[in-house]
Amino acid sequence: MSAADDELTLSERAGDLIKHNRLFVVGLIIAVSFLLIALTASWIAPHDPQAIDFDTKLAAPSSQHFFGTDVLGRDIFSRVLHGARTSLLTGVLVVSMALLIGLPVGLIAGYYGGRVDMVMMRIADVFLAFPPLLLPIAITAALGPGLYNALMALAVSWFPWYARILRSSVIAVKEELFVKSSQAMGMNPIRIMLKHVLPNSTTPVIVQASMDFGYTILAAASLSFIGMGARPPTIEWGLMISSSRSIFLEYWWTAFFPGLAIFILVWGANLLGDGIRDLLDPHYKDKR
Amino acid sequence: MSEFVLAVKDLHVTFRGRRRDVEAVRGCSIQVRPGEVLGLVGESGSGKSQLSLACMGLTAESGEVSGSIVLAGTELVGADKETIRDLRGDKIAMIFQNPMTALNPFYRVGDQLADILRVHHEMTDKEARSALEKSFKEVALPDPKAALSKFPHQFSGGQLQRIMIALAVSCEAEVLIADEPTTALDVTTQKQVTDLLRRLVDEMQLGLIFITHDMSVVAELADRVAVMRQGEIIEQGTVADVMGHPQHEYTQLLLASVPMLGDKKSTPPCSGFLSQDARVEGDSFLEVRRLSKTYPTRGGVVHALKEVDFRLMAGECSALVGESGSGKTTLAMSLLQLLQPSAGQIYFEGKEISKNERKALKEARRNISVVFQNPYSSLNPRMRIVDIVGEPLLVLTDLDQATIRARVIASLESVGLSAEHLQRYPHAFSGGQRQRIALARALVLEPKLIILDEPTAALDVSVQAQVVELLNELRERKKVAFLFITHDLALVERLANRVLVLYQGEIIERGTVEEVFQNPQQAYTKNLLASAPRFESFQKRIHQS
Repeated sequence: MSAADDELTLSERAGDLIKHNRLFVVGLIIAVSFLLIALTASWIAPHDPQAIDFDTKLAAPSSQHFFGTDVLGRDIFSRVLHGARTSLLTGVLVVSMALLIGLPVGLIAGYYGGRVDMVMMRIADVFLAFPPLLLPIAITAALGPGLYNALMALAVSWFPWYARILRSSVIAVKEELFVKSSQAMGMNPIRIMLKHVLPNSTTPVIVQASMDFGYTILAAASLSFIGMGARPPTIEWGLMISSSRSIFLEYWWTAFFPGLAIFILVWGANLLGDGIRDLLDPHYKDKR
Repeated sequence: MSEFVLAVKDLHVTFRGRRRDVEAVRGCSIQVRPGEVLGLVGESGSGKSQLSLACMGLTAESGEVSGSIVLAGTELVGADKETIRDLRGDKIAMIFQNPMTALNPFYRVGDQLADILRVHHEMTDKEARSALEKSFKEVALPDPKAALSKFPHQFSGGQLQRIMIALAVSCEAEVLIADEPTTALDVTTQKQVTDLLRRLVDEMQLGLIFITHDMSVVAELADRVAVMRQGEIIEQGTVADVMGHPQHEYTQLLLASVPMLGDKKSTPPCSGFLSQDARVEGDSFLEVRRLSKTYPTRGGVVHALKEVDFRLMAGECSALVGESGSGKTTLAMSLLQLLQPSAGQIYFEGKEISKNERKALKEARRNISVVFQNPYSSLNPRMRIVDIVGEPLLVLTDLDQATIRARVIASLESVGLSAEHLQRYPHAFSGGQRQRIALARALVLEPKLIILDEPTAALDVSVQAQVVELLNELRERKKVAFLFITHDLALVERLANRVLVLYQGEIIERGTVEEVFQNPQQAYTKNLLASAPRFESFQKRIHQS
C-alpha cells in the first residue's frame, strides 16, 4: 500500500514512467522516430525509391547506397524509409478498424447479456476458432490479394479479442451502483452504455490494443511476404523481403535491412504497449 | 520479562510517497496484558489497521517502521523475517473484517487450517485435525467433526468468523488482533462473536486488541480503550475513564455519534404533518400487493420475497428492517423494476407499474429516487459533480442548461455542499460528502419518495450522524417520503415513524416504531431488539467498571 501514489495524476505517472522505465523511453523514441520518418520520407530519402537503375543493381552497401540496392537497382535505404509509411498505416488502420467493430459488439453483448450475448459471442467464437494467420489468409484469398483487403481481413479476424475483453469489463461495470441508479431514473440504455459503462470499462482494451499494434504490423508484413498483402509498386517491408527470397543468401542486404526495420518497429511498439499498460493500470506496479 | 504480553512504544509507520510522505502511525504506545481486551477505536484512515499490521510484522514493503514492538519478550522492529514469521501464528494471530474472504474457497476448511498447524507446531495431520475439532467445540461451532470436511461457502459469516477465531485458539496464540471482526456480520451474530471473544480472553488469558469504530461494542467488551486519530493515540485509559469522562473533544464527538436504542437526541421524527392512522385509504401513494420474487435452483426455488404487502403514505418515513439475506435489497430493486418480480403488483398513485406499463413506470421513476449503500460505487468516477447531479434533469426533463445548473446548485446547497464543488470529480470527496452528492442527485427531481438502501452503512460513525441529521432535516423541509432500508435499529428509532420487519422474504411484523420497539410480537423481532446496543446498558457498563 502506498497512499501517496494513489493521488498521482496521469501526467505525473507518465513522468515517473519516463524516469524509471528505460525501456519505455526506448520504445517511445523508436515510435516517434518512425513516425517522423514516415511523415518526411519524401524529403529525407536520398534517392527516388521507385527509380530503376540496372547499372547499379544488387550493389553492396556503400556511401552512395547506405543499405545497397535491390535486383532492379533501387535504393534500399530510400525504400525502407518509405516503407515506414505503409507499416505504421497498417498498425493504425487494423487496430482502429478492429476496435470499431469490437467495441460495440462487446458493449452490447456485455450490457444486455442473455440471448444477445450468447449469439454475439458465439459468432465471435467462430473467428477465434481459426489459427491466428490462417483466417486472414483465407479472407484475403477470397477478397483478392491487395494491401487494403489484407488490412480488412486482419481487422475482421482481430475484433473478437477486443469484443471479448470489453465484454468482460462491461459485465463488471454494469453492476456498479451508478449504473443501477441511472437505470432507476429510467435513462435510455444507449445513454447509459455510452456515458456510464463505456468510459469506465475501456482501459483493458486500450492496453491490449497498444500491445497489438506491433503484432498487426508483423502480421501484415507476413501476409505481404506470402503474396497476400501489398502488391508492387506499393513499398512494403514484407514485400521487399519476399522479392529477395531467391537471392538473399548471396545478397544479404536485400532482406536484412527491411527485416531489421520490422524488428525495430515491432520491438519499439511492444515496449510502448508495456509502458501504456503500466500507465493506465494502477494495479500493476512494477518493482522499481 | 514485563507483565505485558505486547508492548508497543513510540511506533512510527511511514510510507514514502512522491509528493509527500504519509505518516500512517505517529508515535503510538499501547500495552496489552494477558487476559485483557484493549479496544482500539478510530475512524477509517486513523491508522489503526497500520498499527496492528506493524504488530504482525506485515507492514507493506514501501512502509518504514521505527520505534519498538515487544511481543512476548521478543523485539519485532528490526528483527529478521524468519523470527517474525515464527512468531506469527504462534504467539500472535489476527482475524479480519470479512471472514468470507479470509479462507480459500477451493479447499475444505479442515485441510487448509490443518496445514497451518502442521507447519507451525509440527503436528501430524491427525493431531492437527483433533486440535481443530477441539477448538471448534471451544467456539461453539455446530457439529465440529463434520465442519472440518466442509467448504467455506457452506458456512454463514458468523460461523466463518468463529472458525477464524478457532484457528487462533488452536495455535495457542498469546495475542489476538481482531480487526473489525463484527462489522461485516448481522447484529444478532455480532453479539455472539463478541461474547465468544470475551469468554476466550478470560479462559485462556489471551491478550486481545479489538479494533473497531463502534464505541458501543467497545463499551461491552473492552477493559481499556485507546482512541486513535490521524495516526496518534489521543486518549487512552480504562473504559470507565475514557467513556465516562472523555477528555478529548474528538472522543466526545465519537461517543455522541454512536447510534443506540433509547437515546433520542433528535426530535421525534415526522412530528406533525402526517396522519398516524395507516388505514386512511386516500393517502397511500405507493402500494405493493402480494409481491414475490423467486429464483430457480437445482433443488427447487428460493423465495427471495414471499407475498409482500405494504403501502406508503405521502410524507411518511418507513423503515424496512432485516438482516442480510432477508430480501431488503431485492424489494427495493423490485419497486423500480430493476429486478423483475415473479408475481404481485405495485401501484404508484393508483396506476400499476410494470415492465409493460411503460408510461406509468416512467412517471414512477421520475418520482422515486434511490440512494444506495456504497457512495464509492454510486457515482460515475469519470463525470463531474455538476453532470452527475444534473443528469436526471437533463435526461428526464426539458429544462434548459441555465435552469438545470441553478437547480443543481440549489440541490447541492440543500445537502450542505456548495457551487464551488461543481467542477470536481467524485474522487476528490470523502465518503460522507459522496453520500451527500448522491442525496443531491436524488433530490434534484423533487421526488415524492426516496428509497435509501443502507445509506449510512459504509460511513464512519461521526459522518453517519451528520447524514442522519441531514435526512431528518430534509424530511421536515421537503415533505418527501422515505423508505429507509437498514439493519440498524438505532437509526430506525431516530429516523422512521413506521417500521416493517422483513425476515426470510416475509414481512413478519409491522406498525409504528413505538408499537414494534416497545412491544414486539415475533420472537425474531425480540431477538433483534435484544441484540442492538442500548443506551441504558451502555451508560450502566461505563459507570460500573
